[in-house]
Amino acid sequence: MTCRFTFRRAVCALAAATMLAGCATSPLPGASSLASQPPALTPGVTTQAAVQRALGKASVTRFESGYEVWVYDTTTRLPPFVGLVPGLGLVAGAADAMTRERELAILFDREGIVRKARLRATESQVDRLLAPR
Amino acid sequence: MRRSAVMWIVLSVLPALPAHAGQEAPAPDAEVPVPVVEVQGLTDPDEHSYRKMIRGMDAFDTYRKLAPAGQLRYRLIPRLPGVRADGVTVTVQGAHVTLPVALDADLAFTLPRNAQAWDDRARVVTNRKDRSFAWIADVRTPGLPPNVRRLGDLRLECEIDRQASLVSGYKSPGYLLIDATIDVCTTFPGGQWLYYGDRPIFNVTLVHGQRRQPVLASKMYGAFIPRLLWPFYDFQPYLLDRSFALKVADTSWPDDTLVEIEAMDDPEPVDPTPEVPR
Repeated sequence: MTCRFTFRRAVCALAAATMLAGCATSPLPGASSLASQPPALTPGVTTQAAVQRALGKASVTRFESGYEVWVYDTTTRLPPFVGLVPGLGLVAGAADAMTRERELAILFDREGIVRKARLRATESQVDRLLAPR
Repeated sequence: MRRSAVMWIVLSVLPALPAHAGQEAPAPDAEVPVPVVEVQGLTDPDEHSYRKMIRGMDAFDTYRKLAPAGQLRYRLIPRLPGVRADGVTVTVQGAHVTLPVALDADLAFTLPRNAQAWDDRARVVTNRKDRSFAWIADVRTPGLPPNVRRLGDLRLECEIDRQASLVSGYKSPGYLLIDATIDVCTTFPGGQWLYYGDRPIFNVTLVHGQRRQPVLASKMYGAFIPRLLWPFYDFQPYLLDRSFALKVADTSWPDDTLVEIEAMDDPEPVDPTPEVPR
């Protein structure tokens, strides 16, 4: 997978993360399509329709200004009941502590054209504990 | 209340209109008594407790170590459509004292400490109707770029607001209990606080040395509060795109952590590096 542009690179990283997540449960249907068809998000060009075709349904926040932010969350999460299963709880806890939350945020202007896009990932709990103080 | 007051003024003035309409205009030098209707203020102005705001200033002194060089101003952010920023006035009004308050161009101000106003349980009153503004404590350490805040400053704003109760919103009994027993701004692990960017925001990133962490969408645009409760908050509807929450009590981030705020209309960086922790 070669990625030339920055936004495409970001989406590729997100796609790779999704593919690496073996037993992933994607909270949004669009997350799985990131792996198969990463779109080129070009500010000033890419439309909402193109993004939705490529990534599926996003979590959308609309503002009074007419702008919208679409978010694709691809964080891998284990089902909550796993923690209650004897023996699996510890493993699930360890997996949870190493999990980084990831999302792709896309800003659309009033005309429904991409203005910005950003891949975000938080630290895992382990990262936070190991962070320099 | 306010509507009936307006009606009262209209009804008081109306009988005079037909009388003037049927008369010739008096000579310019004639001494004609002119009826004057004085409106002292709105019946439901946007106002706040002077005592609470003074207690907020006390908290600023108490927790000063969070922002040793920080400067405190209170600030009004218009939150309703049609609220004109120009012409806004702020006055401390008590039973025996009235103190005009100077406003900066960004509708920020500092309050004078006045014993009479304290005894009078004075109000800090604007000349705009109730809930026209989000009232915030604004602590800024000089020398930072306009799009960069300091985490210690934001923690101090949190401490001030615990006393001044400026940020409107639903406070559950559980929150009140926690707030009474532990410092939600610097100690309680789940403690998070609501902030506003100066402009609509797209990205908020904590930066300390090589460590970077973006704020996820779940902490932006009111998403951190159940939608059912949004009407209680000032960000609804016009400040939604400026709102974000920070886990201010996360002590893994020191006070001199920088909080970079990228506005929606900021130019895109040449190489917008994905916000992935290092």
